[in-house]
Amino acid sequence: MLPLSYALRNLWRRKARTLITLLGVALISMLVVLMGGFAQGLSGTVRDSAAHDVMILTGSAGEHDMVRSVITRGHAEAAAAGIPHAAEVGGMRAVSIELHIATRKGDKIGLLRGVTDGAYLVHDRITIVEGHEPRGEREVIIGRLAASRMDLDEADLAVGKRIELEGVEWTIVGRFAAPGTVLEAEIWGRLDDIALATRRTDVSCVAARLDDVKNMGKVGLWIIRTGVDYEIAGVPEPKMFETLQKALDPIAALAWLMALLVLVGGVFACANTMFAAVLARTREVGTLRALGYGPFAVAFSLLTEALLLGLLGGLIGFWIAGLFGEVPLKFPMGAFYLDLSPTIRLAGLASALLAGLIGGIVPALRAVRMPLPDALGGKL
Amino acid sequence: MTPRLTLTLCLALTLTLAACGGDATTDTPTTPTTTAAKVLLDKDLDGAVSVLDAKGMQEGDEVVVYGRIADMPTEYVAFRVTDDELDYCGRGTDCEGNCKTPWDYCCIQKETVAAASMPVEMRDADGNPVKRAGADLRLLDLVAMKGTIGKTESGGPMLIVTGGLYKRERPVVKEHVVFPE
Repeated sequence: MLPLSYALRNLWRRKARTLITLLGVALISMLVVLMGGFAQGLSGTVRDSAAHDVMILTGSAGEHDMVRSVITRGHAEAAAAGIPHAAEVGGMRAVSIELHIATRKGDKIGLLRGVTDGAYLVHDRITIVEGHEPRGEREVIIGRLAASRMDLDEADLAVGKRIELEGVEWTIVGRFAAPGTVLEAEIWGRLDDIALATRRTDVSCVAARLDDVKNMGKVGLWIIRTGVDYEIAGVPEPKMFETLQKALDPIAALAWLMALLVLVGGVFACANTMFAAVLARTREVGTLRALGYGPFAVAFSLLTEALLLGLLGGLIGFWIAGLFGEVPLKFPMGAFYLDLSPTIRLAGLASALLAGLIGGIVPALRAVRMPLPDALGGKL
Repeated sequence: MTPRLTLTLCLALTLTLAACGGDATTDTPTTPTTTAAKVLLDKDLDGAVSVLDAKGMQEGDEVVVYGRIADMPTEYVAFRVTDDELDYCGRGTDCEGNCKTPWDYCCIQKETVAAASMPVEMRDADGNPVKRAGADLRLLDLVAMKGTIGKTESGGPMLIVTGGLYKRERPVVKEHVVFPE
């Protein structure tokens, strides 16, 4: 078997070629990470937004778009008070009456959600990271991704600043995080303030966190019994997000397909480089075989070179992707962070290794299949 | 690259891609269970009245009602049934393309739909809700059922079914329509 130092020395001998190939592989690795991070971030945000123990009561049309759903305030209050099996936290029922408004700031659209105190119990992934929840008149809190969704400057949405929405000036009193959910791209205020500002006497939905997910069926029965009188329909939150998930799945799949195409391109590039390297070293390969190194040892050494290129390029890509930090991206229904988690970055590293492996295997076989006299004579 | 190399690479990539593919899924027909057999009757029920007529009856009255399933949770034989006189989107006009699904009643005011609808719940001899357990029911099915008029928590009328349902008709809808499960 040829020593590893032989493969390393060969890479070092052709510095320019090695450097260019390394950069190419690093680029492939990075592109795979970016595409994968986009796909994973997009579908993960929608998937993780749904809590399995939350039931949403919408208008009787069973509308899954909360902005279009309408329940009269009286019916919503009656339903909120009557819904069985609602979880209790500190003596308070985890039920929230909400109004969802597609609000505009110039030509930018965001989501303004009017909530009652129960909302923080229902949507328990919400954490106030700065300031406090709205307590006084015309106060709002801003999700970490609201600025990205509305293409606004982060500084304009800082705590203490004022923002005009729905023709009313609001004071920003806090910022909230809800990692991995679409909630992070929203602006929240008190239900009564939002209803007054938007002149709405109805609401969009009632959200309830159940004491046990096993009670979903019983709550479903209650909704059937009362749905006609309260003009409501019920949908478990995962079902509601399923519609959105289905709409976004093709985009995520396209991103994965693009990542795959980048990988395919990388395989061909790596194969081309290694093939050129083999052709330039036919005499050397012939000499090695004449010295007694078997075809497997020679092929393995050439493959090691390709794998080293893949590994080093992949590590560079892995490292650069880690420098990006949090990259916010928006989509029509919200915003999300590019998923640059170690898992996705490792996928980029693996794709670089795969490019090296598949790209190196054929030139390595070509080298050892060459008749020895031809190889020694330097014939191509 | 030589054509042979290109071919070999393509083959290797095809094999890699094929290895990444998942198993194809197939629809398995639901085997009716004993419970499902009890839920669905083989014979139609005589003397069925419309939902609107049934809503005018008194609590405790025994009645056979027919109507279309309009809303249904997955676990129990419980749904909202709507009077068959109302045109659902799959049968009526589509309100200039506003109808998203065939089971919407978007061409009709929601108050009218609510007035022509009532909750239905199937219960066993002990008064417990009966589970669907594979009974082949879906939105828009026209069903006839025998039961007793009861009251909901909010005081409205409901039909408590104790004797099973007969599926009179299942409307044909466009092929791409996926019904909620």
